[in-house]
Amino acid sequence: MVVFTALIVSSDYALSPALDVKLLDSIVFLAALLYGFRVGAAVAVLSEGIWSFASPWGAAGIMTPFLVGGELLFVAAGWAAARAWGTDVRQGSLKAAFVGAVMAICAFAWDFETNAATAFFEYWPHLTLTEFIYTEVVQGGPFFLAHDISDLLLGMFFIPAVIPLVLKASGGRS
Amino acid sequence: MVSRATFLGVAAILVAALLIVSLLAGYYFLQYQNEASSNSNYENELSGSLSKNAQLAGDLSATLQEYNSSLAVLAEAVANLNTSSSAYANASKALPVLWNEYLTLARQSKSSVETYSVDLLIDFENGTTLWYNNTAVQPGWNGYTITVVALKGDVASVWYPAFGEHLVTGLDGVNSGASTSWFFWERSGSVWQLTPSGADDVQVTNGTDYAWTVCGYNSSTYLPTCVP
Repeated sequence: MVVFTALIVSSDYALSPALDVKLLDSIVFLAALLYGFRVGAAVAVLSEGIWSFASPWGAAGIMTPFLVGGELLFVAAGWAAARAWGTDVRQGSLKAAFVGAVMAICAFAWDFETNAATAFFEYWPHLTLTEFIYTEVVQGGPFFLAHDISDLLLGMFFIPAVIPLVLKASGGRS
Repeated sequence: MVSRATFLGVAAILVAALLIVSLLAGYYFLQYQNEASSNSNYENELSGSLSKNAQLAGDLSATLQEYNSSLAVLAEAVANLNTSSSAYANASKALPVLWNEYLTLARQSKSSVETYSVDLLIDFENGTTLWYNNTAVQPGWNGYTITVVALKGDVASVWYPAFGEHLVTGLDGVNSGASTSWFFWERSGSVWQLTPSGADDVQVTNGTDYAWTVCGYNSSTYLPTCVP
């Protein structure tokens, strides 16, 4: 769990110039896929919690619970994926495509949820539908796309590539 | 029979594809809206610029007309001021300069202004001649005014208001003597003809050649002993 969290925070820093392209989602998903919901959730809460306060873009503040909550979607997805398809996800396989698709759906849900929270806090108590759509679509649109596509590709190629490495490093335990 | 796991995976792929395609379409639509908005702004700016340009062109045209009217007044002043006055000296020097500036401004702005084109010959009778070809002059100017403009004011003369005439005594620094005078000529076809009156009474016409000669004259008929 500590290793996963350290990997996430350091990769977040490394990828901070590329907005919304991050390994955090993939590693959280991987942790849940290989080690179950509890470990995945712990990694998600710890890493997103640290990043929310230590991000070079500034502390997330009141948005932190929503970021952590969004990350738990990846945990749930990883846990569910393990139950549906197992942990033997190999590169180039149909399962790798399934994982990529699930990651893309989770990224969409994460962006939708965090943008909704942003709109809520930005315009409260006079939030209108127009302001909500503006925050979701106009402000968040380009990041939606980058996040979705990067998570799709990471799910298809990165996760299947690191599963054997993680299992080998942990002595084959999952 | 497709297994439940495969069915779920395919469903996930379809949903993800739907989301990504929708996002792409939404992104494209936003970009399109932004470009359409920018395009509309550019069109408005262009329309505003064209309108301002038309207004400036109108202002320039009005300014040129006023300039032209002022030059006509100045030419009239040069034609009627006492040549020994400082006002005449200043006006006769300013008129050629302002006239050339006016022509330059009209040419640069591609404005159509009405001018006559004349050729003016200064024959010094010592073998030296000066041609001022294609000299642009204002319609309505007389022979004296075009001489002042062509020679940039380097005209020595005496004004006789009773006759409304200038007695030209020097052109381009060459003065007439005790037994010589300056004579004004107009070419008709290929023949130079002495003008029946002074240069002040000659209304210039477009495309005509004019000349000044300095030479002696018959003491009884006062006709010149030379032709250009």
